[in-house]
Amino acid sequence: MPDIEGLLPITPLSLALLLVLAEGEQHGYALMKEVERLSEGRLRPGTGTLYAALQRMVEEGWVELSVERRPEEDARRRYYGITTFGRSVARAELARLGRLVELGERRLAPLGSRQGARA
Amino acid sequence: MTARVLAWLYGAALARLPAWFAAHHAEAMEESFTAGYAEAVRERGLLRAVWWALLDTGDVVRTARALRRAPSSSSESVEARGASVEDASPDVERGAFHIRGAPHAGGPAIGARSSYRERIMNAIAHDLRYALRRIGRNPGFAGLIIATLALGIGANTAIFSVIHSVLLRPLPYAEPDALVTVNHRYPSIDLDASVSAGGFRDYRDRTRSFSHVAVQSGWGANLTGYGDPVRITATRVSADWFAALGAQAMVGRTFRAEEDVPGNHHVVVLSHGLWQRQFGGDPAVLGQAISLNAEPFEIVGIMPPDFRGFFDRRSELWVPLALTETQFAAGRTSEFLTLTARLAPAVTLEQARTEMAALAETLKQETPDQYPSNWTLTVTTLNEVATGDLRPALLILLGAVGFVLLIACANVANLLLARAAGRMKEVAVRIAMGAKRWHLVRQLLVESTILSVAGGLLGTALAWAGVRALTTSFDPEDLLGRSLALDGPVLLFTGIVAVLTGVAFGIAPALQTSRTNVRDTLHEGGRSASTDRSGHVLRRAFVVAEFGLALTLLAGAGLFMKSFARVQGVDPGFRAERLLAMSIALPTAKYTNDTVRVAFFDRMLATLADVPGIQAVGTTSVLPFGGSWATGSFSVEGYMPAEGEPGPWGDLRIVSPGFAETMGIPLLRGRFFTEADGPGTTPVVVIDEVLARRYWPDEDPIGKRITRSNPQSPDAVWWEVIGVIGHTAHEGLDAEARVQYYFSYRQITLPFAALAIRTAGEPLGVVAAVRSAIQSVDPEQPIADVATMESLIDRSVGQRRLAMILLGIFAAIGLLLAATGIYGVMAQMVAQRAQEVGVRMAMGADRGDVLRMVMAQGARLAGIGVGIGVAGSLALTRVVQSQLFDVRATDPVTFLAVTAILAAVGLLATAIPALRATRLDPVEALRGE
Repeated sequence: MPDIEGLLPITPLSLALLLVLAEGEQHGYALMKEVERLSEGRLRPGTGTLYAALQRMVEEGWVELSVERRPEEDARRRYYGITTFGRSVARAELARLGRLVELGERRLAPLGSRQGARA
Repeated sequence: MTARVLAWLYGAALARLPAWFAAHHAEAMEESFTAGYAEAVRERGLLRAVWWALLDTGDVVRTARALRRAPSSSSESVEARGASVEDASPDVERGAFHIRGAPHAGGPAIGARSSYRERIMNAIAHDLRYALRRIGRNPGFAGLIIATLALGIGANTAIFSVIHSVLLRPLPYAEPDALVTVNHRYPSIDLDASVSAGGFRDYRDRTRSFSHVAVQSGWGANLTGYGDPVRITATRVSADWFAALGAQAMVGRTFRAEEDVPGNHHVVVLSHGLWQRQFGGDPAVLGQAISLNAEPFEIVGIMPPDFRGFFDRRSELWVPLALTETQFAAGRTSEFLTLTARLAPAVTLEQARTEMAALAETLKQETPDQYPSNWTLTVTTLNEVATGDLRPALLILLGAVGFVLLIACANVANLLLARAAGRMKEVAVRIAMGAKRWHLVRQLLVESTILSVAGGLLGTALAWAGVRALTTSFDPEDLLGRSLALDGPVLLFTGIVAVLTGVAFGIAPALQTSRTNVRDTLHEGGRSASTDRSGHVLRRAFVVAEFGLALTLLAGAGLFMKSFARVQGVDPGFRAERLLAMSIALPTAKYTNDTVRVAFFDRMLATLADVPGIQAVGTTSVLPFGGSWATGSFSVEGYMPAEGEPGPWGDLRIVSPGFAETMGIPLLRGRFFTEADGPGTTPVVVIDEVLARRYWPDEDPIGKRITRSNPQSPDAVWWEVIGVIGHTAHEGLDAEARVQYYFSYRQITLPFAALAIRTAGEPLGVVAAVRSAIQSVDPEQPIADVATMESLIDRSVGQRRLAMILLGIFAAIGLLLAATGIYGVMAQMVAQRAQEVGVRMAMGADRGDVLRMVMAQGARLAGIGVGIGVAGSLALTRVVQSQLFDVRATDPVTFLAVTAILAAVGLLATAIPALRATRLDPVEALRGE
């Protein structure tokens, strides 16, 4: 297994995609909407950006193209799913962010408690 | 439709993706795009969906470019920055992704450098994208700007399409620039007359300037034998006439030289319209004979659908002129032919003019007694003839729409400046981060150009609607069968106007923005006092300019309105209400002499007098406002015109005894004609008050005599004045008054007449009864040109009305834009000076003081603008004076009125922000900083 820590940090879009796919398989346009919702509107990938990101994540082995086809839908529609490795990467990134959050909270804490921490 | 265009665009963007990427994803991307667009339409409406689709397409283009670039080592951080910093600093925008790992086969080549051209294209694409995003961020603002520009550009396009159709487009004939007409010129009375038969022969045979010389004379033909008898507007033309215009028959042929001879002239060429309407478009009519004015004519040709004669636009058939030897011998004064000539190859207009002037001198030397000493021949191009009347009015309208566009530009520039002030901080940040100022200017100009092109597109739609409305206001025959159209040259004009407009209104805000003082702006939290001030000065200058331009527009519209009211106020000299007009022409082959003609008119008048609903009826050779006129010179017994003075000359009408009473023309002295005035009694004439005043200013004209013959001749017929009646307008309410004199149709008989019928009720209600009454006298006799007198008068002022309405619309647009302009500036000023107002109020100023302060500011701007506008308008009066009737272009009442209107609108627009200022809470205002 590759060294996950060496891949970090991953981009916000990658993380968002991994988190959306962690819920279950999704197709292109649904991913765009879910990413936007998850990021509270801060990430709004276009189709070009999205598929370029998916292409990279497939290459990295974080996500994979689903073999499943749904006959009632548009034949061109593709579903993507998260791989076990993808879940590990997302978890590692969240852990990294968690540490960062912790550090940040301490540094930005009110003056008194910060002094206390130093002492 | 929209969806298909967008899908096509998206497909074009997909095509730019590297092949290996497209093979994997293109279909799925297309599907996502389609799904996204459909949902956006459903949930956010068409406009926002289109916007989304365009942004998404741009995203694919950006992706494609990035995929082609070599992956950079720091790509991961680029992506991070792109996704998070982009909103804070719009300048930083890269594709929010990267390709990691080894390049694929056929993928991006490592180390490839983009070419110069590619970099330029990238820069342009970047600017476009940036501009689109900024526009999209505030669609309401963009919409306001686009609507303003659309008004300006639309008005310009509509008027330019008229100018293009009427003034610029070549006449619809072969090599139209070589077509000219020749006139007899009488400089002393400023008259360009037609030519005589003898003259025509001289100008054709004794000159070298022309390849063709042809003449024509108006004609009316009663067509019988095909359903109801109908009167057809027709023209008699010399054999070379069609060739001179470069026209050929669509079916059959035009005339041969041997047919242009009396006796051989019973051939006819039909217009396409008449052929379709009367003969069902049947080619078999060729060679058939039809009855025109009770004589048989053989149909030899049919003209193409778009052919119109130049001087006879309404003509529907043509027959040979076949001038007789008597006509050729009649001399110079028998001026009844309109001449059309084509300059010979390589002959210039100047050469032709020189030759004709020389010929005029030769003719005068040959027979000095035939010609007035300063008589000459003029050569005028048909282009000049075609545009002469409309040119000044159209150019004034073009000027007016130009002003509208300038006001629109100033307004938009103001809106952009106002926004620029709000964006100082963003710009300062970008400059601090290393953005080049030129780069900023370029981006802002791209933005303004996109807005103006959008305005141009919308404006074109407005112009299209405007042109459709204008088309109905124009007589199609005035356009020689061509239509007003938004065609290639007009659209090119619009395109150029749109781009120039974009630069014009974009440059000031762009330069203003780029001058942002970075340190001050960042220090002062986005409100740099210095730049704010200069921006404000600029905005005020624009408001002043808008008011100046608006005043000029209003003054123009006001003058045209007053002029129109004056024209409408002119008394035509008769009562126009409940007056029906029509014309009738007797075929001379059937009504061969005066006796039978008078008998017909007598019976017709008697029959008509009994028709219920008709109160009075009269006939005249030419009817006021009927579109034709007849003038003639005469001599007054005992009166010799001074040397160089033109002799007596004026409108002559040949009328029935009931004419004056029917028309309601007042009898001032003596009597009008009676049934008793006839061939056997004293020749009598009735004159109008103008003639009476001019030649017998201090005497009673009754019993005086005039003649139309040479007064020296012993055979001269002397006509005794028996009455004086009121003067009537003839060609138009605004036309120059000529003297008028009348003869009785029993003493001079013509085979045609115009009927004036006074009705008890609605004039058009009796038409059917009139037609059947006339056909009870002669079943083959048609009537033509049926119209109410009121509609004829109305038509005569149509061009003035159209110009007035258009100027009024343009002035209203200008006023509206100027009002919104001053409102915007004052509102912004109030907002920015809230703190100052707060301080003043805290220091004890009351609401009245604040109101006065703000109002004074607005009044100053409006006042300066109005002052400049008045000065400018007064300088422009020369241009409009020729188009005004009975109004001086410096008319003080008009100027005062429009100044008052503009001032009132300006104060009203200022009052809203001023009142808002008085309601400021001083505490809030002070805390706001």
